Amino acid sequence: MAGTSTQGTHCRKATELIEVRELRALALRERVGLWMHLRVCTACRAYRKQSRMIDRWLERRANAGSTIQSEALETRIIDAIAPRS
Amino acid sequence: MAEDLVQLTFVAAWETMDRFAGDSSPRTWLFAILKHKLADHYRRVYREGKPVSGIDLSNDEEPGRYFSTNGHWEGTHAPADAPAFDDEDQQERLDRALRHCLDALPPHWRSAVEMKYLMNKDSGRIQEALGLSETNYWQQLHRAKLKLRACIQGRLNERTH
Repeated sequence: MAGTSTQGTHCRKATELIEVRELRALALRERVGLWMHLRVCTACRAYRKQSRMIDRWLERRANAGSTIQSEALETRIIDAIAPRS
Repeated sequence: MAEDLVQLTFVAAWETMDRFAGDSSPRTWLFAILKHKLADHYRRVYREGKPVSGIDLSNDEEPGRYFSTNGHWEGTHAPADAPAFDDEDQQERLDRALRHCLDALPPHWRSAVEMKYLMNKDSGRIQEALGLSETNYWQQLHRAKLKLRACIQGRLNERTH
């Protein structure tokens, strides 16, 4: 069920921690609070999964150089730089 | 923007040609330069865009849209498992939704999101480049992610019903 509070960690805090965890190690209290919250909150589990999926997409995109807006332009550039064999 | 960045990339590549050791393919090398140029671009967008858009970091309006005052998801904003999010067959649809929603983000949030990967998650350097404290940086990312995720879910639902 969505929104169940556990040990003071509510959904807003839990989603914050899911993002913060990418940038720094969580304190023990934060880790335990998040873990307990995720055990009972399906909405936050869905958030975590979707947030990771978005991150993977953004990472793939940045590493492929495809942050350029136009796909047509991107193809033209790539072919000009290093034509595909 | 894209044409300018590509031009800048070629100029930078030309100027630093003697430093290209040939360890990687020219394509990888040019993408590395392009990533730097893009990071520069988003840093400028962030710094220039912030005062104009008048966004105050202490303004907590965005998360407030998704959560009630007690911090729980507000009704329809609660994320639900969406098969399109991880269904291989739906990748193209998801890709379109992601592109659309990324474009719809306020420029400075988008900059924070883009720089995370353009600068290889080096949060110390990103915070310095954007002139943000650690707390403000992750708050920006949290807000941007909430908005991005909600937008994608909205787009995906739109098309299935």
